[in-house]
Amino acid sequence: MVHSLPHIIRFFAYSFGFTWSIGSFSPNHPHPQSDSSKFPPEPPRVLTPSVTPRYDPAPVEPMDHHHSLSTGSPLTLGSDSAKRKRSDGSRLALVEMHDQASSYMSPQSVRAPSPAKAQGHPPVHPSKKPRHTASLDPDTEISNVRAEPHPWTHTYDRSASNTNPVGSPEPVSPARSPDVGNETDLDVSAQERESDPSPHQRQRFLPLSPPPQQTHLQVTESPPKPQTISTLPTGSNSHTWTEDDKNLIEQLKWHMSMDPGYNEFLESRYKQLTMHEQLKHYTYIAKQLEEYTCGRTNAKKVRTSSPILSRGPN
Amino acid sequence: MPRRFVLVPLFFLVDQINFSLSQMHVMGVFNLPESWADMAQETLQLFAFYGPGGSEFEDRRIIDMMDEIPPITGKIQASKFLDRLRQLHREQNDD
Repeated sequence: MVHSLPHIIRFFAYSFGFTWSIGSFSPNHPHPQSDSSKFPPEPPRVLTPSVTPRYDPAPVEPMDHHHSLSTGSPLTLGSDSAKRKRSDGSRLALVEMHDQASSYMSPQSVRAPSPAKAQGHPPVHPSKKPRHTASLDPDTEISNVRAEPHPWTHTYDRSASNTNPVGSPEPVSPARSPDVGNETDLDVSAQERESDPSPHQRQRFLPLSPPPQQTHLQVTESPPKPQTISTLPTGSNSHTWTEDDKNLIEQLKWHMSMDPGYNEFLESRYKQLTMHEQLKHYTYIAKQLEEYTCGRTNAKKVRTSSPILSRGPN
Repeated sequence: MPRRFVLVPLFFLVDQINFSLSQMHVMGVFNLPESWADMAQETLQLFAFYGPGGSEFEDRRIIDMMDEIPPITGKIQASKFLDRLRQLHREQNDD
């Protein structure tokens, strides 16, 4: 691959930022290789409209000082035509200044550029900004964050640097504030530090007599409770039901359920019964007791515990 | 002939097993305390003395209480009924 010398020179010139046409192009001595067709076309320039309006004031005529001073008239600037032109021009200038100001006051123009933008850094998304830099706007945000010092704190800081002024509340330290949850721990540690003497002092505080030994155990274990059946009826609290009792009651219940009086008793048991209906229940229960207990050899005889009935009516 | 297993309730084997069936078990079937059975039997005996058609005499207040709707609960009414019967029996014995 053979390169000619101009190609090599142009390559180095491009690499150092120079263009070939600089200093060598002139209309009188055009470079033979400065043809635009051989160079890559430049990117088209984007023409942005200028914000500042063009100000083209009217031409001002030179003042005629002598004429105005000689006539004794009040100081005027120029002749009538010139004055009219100037006034038109100044009016036009005022209108243009108003437009310019209004264009500056638009929200897009009012927003100040960010410092990063002003320094040329690429804009950073607000969500990706570090927090400490978000509140470091030097002019606006710090001045907003700073609160006015309280008058009391102001006087406290100025009058007494380390002493508490009379009548002013004592400043609450964070360790002593009631909201701090480690208050008890701090107090306890302080008490321990105060009460815990040094080894030398600890020897002085040794008790003369040995501490009383614990003679008996304070906590006594409760005796194991007998096994109770939770599914059994709770009406008789004085009994502890065994497995045999449970089986027997289940068999009795199965047998009594054949009797229609049993279901009737259960249905109307929790109703608000009159004594007439209640006596029917009493009769039914007494009949069942007589049937299932008194007629059997191994059964305990049912008897009433009322001492009145033992005497009987006269 | 195939063998047939018949489930026999345990209740019919009580005599053979020599279980002691007591008032406690019967009242346990009804889920009631034993005191309830004592109260029921005492009430029935006194009612046989002083109730309607009683062997001793008929007390008018006892007959009125028979169909009286209990103001609070049936248990309280039954206690009042039994207290009234005991009072009558005590008065009868004191005389």
